[in-house]
Order: sequence, then structure tokens, then C-alpha cells
Amino acid sequence: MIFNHAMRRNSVKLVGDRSSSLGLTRGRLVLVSGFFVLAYMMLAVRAFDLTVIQGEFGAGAEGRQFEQVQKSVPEDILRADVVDRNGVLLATTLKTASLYADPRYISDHQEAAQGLVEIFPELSFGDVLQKLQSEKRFLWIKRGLTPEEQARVLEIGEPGLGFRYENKRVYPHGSLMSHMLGFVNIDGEGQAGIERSFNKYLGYGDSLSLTLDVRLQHILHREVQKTVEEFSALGGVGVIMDVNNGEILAGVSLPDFDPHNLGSAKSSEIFNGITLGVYELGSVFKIFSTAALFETLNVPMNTTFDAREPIKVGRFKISDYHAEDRELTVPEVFMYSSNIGSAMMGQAVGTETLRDFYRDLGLLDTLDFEIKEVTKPIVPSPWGDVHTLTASYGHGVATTPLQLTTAVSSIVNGGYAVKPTLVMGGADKAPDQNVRVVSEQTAHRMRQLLRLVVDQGTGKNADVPGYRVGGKTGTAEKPRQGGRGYDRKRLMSSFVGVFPVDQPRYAIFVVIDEPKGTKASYGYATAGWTAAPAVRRIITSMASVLGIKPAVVKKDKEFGDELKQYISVKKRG
Amino acid sequence: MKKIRGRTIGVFLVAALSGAALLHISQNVQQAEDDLARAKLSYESQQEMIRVLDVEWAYLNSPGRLEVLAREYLDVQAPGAGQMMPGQIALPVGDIPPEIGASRIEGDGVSSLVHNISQSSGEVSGVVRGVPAPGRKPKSQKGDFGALLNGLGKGATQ
Repeated sequence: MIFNHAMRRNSVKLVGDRSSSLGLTRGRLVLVSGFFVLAYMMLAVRAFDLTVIQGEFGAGAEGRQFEQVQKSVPEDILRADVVDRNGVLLATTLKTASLYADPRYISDHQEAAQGLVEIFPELSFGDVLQKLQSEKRFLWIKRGLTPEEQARVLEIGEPGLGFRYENKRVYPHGSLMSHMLGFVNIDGEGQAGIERSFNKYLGYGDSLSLTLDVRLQHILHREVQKTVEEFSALGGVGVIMDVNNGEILAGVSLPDFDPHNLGSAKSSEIFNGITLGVYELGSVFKIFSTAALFETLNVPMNTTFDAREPIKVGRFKISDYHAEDRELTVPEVFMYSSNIGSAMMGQAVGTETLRDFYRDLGLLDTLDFEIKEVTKPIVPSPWGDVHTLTASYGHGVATTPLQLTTAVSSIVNGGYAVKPTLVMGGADKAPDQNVRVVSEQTAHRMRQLLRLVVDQGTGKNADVPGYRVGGKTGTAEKPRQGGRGYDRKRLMSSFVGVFPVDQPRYAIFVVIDEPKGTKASYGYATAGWTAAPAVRRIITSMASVLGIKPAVVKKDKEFGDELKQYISVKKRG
Repeated sequence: MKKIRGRTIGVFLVAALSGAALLHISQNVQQAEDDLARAKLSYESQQEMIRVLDVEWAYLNSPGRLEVLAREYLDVQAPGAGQMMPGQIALPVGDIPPEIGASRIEGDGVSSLVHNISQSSGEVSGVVRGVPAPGRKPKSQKGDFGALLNGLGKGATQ
């Protein structure tokens, strides 16, 4: 009471400055309290917001889940698609789950390992168990799972098993064009083919259009495969090229491989015979020696070459497989594929000139091509006169099938050098803007000779009525293994066909490695029995796929008929 | 005292209003972010779905697979070179040449063929009469698809 009284007395006394400072203090206290109340209110509101409004079942959950998934996916741009000339997908990248284990969180190692081996039979139980018992915090179990496999792993319910999302390269057509497309390693880096040479470009996310046509690729693959099987051959190579611009429409090298399953591929399957295989291709080279003869000496068609006796040069003896034992005109030399006649042609042209001519056609230098797996042709060094003779009929010089197809295209298209290309837009130049390698007259004569071979010579089996097919056979003996000389039983049989020969559009080259004769081929394994029929079937299928109409030509109006006057005696039927 | 209280209330009011506005904005931003994330998720999953479907389409239309299926289920085989008629049947490639008018496409084209199949309960009549039927094998009844093919075959050979 006394205190209250004193207080009251004191309060009465507090007037002026003191009174105002007390009020100010009280005001500040209220302000601070208010601030705290407001802060707690905000916290309460925020807590309500986080737990109820944006809670686990709120609208934002899905989006945040996505962000979490995104964090586990590499942030780089998806490797771009590769498509064919018609936009058909050849290679793409899909997001796939990869399975890892954090052994610390594995509850039952035995059960988890057993479950995983049941899902992935290719994994060994021991290896998986060893991994799951490891001290490490992160171990890959299996990469590139299918959605079904992922679901089955989730069914195991093991907390120590987790997924990381990775990008996987997928080739919908499997092995169909494996040597052209190539493949990538597990980190998505191109290791061969287009995947390797355009690794950076595809990595930027820009899709790539190839000149390949998946339909023609299938036809070529089917027919080369069929021929390889029919003649029990070691392998085969095929190329289809647009002769006017060098675009490669199809390219096959057998045996081939599945780019999704590289682990089981043999080195012989991964080997790209189109650009890496250098072969002595035999008589198909007569196209070049004959063209060189016309181009450099401008000889008439009735020029004759004495093919009665084999040519002997040192230890070499050049003889004819289809011996005619008489003097042969140029069309006869070409039609009967006379080695003697061709060697004489080479001799007439001269060593320097023939070598330069071959070089101009790109047969002697490493191929300049979009795919990096290329090799240098095998060329005699030094190139002596004897090499001129053998090179005239395709021995002593080994080159790749793609270089040969390109050289043939450069001659038959009117004489303009073309460069092989696999990427759309790589052949924008008009043909006549390219360098001329032979004159129009030589090109025309060569087309006539090519037609003659198919109409009446060694390439009859390649003829498709109505499609004016021209071509040249080539049966080369392979070098003897571990010794000098050639093995007569081990052949490289090839045929290069062009059609329609009067105005060529396509060149088709097929090489069969070591075919064995069959009953149907009367034991022959030469090009006329092996590669030529394959080219006939390819052209037949191509015509119906591309909608190319046949032309009816009267018997005496056949392209190249005027050459028949230079064919004197027809020895065989 | 009255003066201080009024100012305090004013500050409280401003603070409360600012807080509310901030919360509102933050909510809107959060909502927008969620919408964006959801849209991205949807876009990404649809893109992925399109890629998967593209692969599936390319695989299912692979010429090798189609050839096997055609051999198994169709009674026709690819025409030989001798079966293609010069100057009369040209497979359409690229643009339709001007000389082939729209009426011809509508009259003999695929759409009319499909219409007739769906409309007719019995045989398909004469729609594909002009097309040669190369190398037909003996027909076999294989469920609904086989029946459809059978119907087509009858139409073609009439």
C-alpha cells in the first residue's frame, strides 16, 4: 500500500522529459513485440504454405519430382539423330535407366544378388554378390536397362539399388548399315563410321541426313548376303552409287555386326571392307586401261591386239582365262576380258601415262571421304613396265571397292570426276562443274563396251531386260598365303554394273571374297556366275522400289549394237 | 502517446500489407515455377515418347521385317523386271506429274480401295482390276487379316 502510494506519488512526479522517454520505451517494446508476432505469423503462414499448400500432395510435387530426375540426367544436349535421304531414322538417342548399387544400404546381399541374376541372366551370381558386399559406395550393376527390367528391379524392393538415367544410342535397323553408321562407346563417343567422323557435330544436337536409302541398303544387303551364302564365301562387299554426284545410296560389308552388341563382334565383322579393304580386283580394271587407251591415243575400235600367245616378262606369264587364240579388236578384248589384250593396251599407253591416269581417277591415293576408316591403296613402288602390264588387267594394284566404284562413275557419267559422299548436301555441285577425267567421246565408247559385256560377253548373267545394264566382270586370284604368286583356288569375284547404260544413273559394285563353285554354277566361282547375278537381282529390285520404268528397245536398236561389227568370231555360245 | 500509437499501427499495417503482398508474389512465383516445371516435364516426357515411337516406327517399318511379314502373310511377291509394264504403270515417286490428274488418283487410288473394303460385306469389286497380280501363291485363310487379304485377292483376280 505504502509502495503503491509511493509509486503513485512518483508517477505523479514523472512529468516532462522522463515521462516522454518512458512512453518511447514502451512504444519500442510494443514495436519489437509486434515485429516478433509478425515474424512468427509469417513463419506460421510459410509453414502452412510448405506443408499444406505445396505439400507432398500439392500441385507442385510433380514438377519438383521432375527436377530431381533432371539432376540425375546428364545436362548435355542429346546426341542428334541420323536419318537417311528420305528421313527414315537410322540412329537416335534414348534415355535409359542404369542400375547401380550402394552396398551400405543393401539389407540382404544374397537375396538381392539372386533377384538381379534372375532379371539379368548374363550376370554371374558370384560377381554380383561380390559387388554388393563391397565397401564402395557406388558400383554399376547394369547399364542401359529396358523399362521392363527396371520395373522388375524395383520389385526386388532393395533400398541399396538405385537408378541413374543415361543416354543410349539406338540403331533401329540393327546391323543393316553398321559399317556406314559406325557405333559409339558406352559414354556416347563415336568410335567408327559416321558416328566417329561427325562426333562433335552430332554432339551439338544437329541431326544429320545421309545419302543412304534404307530400301536400297536392304536390297544390297540381302543380295550380297544371299550370294555369300550360296557360294560359301568368306564375305562380300557391295556399293550403290549415284554416278552423277558420287552419293552413296547403299554400302554393305559382310560379315557385319550388331552395333548394340559390340562385345560379341569379331574383328573381321567390324572391319569395313568398303573403305578399308584393299583388293586386287582383276578385270574390272580393264575399264580404266581401255579408257586410258581411248583417251591418250584415240585409237579406233577396230584396232587389233594379238592374243594368240601369252606374254612373258621375266618370271611373269600373262595369259587369258577365256582364251580366243586370235587377234582381237578393242571390243573383243573387253568383251572376252583378254588379259593379253589389256596388257598390250597398257603397254601402248605407257607406264607414266597409265599411272597418272589411274591417279587422276583416285585409284592410287588414300580416299578422301567422310568416314575416317580409309586406307592407302597398295601400289607398286617403284612402278616398272611389268607393273604397267599387270595393272592393266587389275593385278599388282590393290584398291578399295569404294574407290573403284567412284572411278567407274567418273568415266560413265560423261567423264567428270566425282567424289564419294555419304552426307546429303556434300554433292551440291553440278557434275559438269567437276574436273573432267575423260572426254565425252571416251565416256560414250566405254558405255558401249560395258553394254557389250552384258549383252554378249562375260556379264550376261547381269542383264535385266528393259533396263540397259552395262558392266564388267572381274575375277582375281588372291595372293598365295605365306608365299609368292597367286592361288588359283582363292578368288575375288566382282562385277561392276551401271544402268541405264545409255544415260547412267546408278553404279552397283559387288565383290565376293573366296566363293566356291556350286552345282548350279557348274563348279564355277568366277564373277559371271557369282557377282553378276547378284547385280541383276539388285537392279531388278531397285527398279520396282524406285519406280524405274523399263524401256522396250528393238533388237537392232540396242545401245552399243554398232560395236558388233568389230566382233568377228563368236567362239562360245 | 496517441501520436505514437497511430504511427505504430500504420507501420504494422504497412508491414502486414507488405508481408501479404510478398507472400502473394512468392506464391505466384512458386506457382509459375511449378507450372513451368510441369510443362517441362510434360514436354520432356512427350519428346522422349516421340523418340521412342520414332524408333519403334523405324524398326517396325524396317524393309527386312516388312519383307519377312509380307512373305508370311501376303499371297503376293515382289514383281520381276519382266512384269513391269513400260509406259503403263509408273510407281508414283516424289511429286505427282501434272498429266496424272486428281480425278485419276481419287478414282483408282488407295482411298477408294479402303472405302470399298469397309463398305462391302462380300467381295471387293473391281477396284484393283488394272493391277497385275504377279506370282500369287495358293491362298490360305489366316484369321481376320487373312480374310481381308482373301477378299483383296478375289477383287484383284476378277
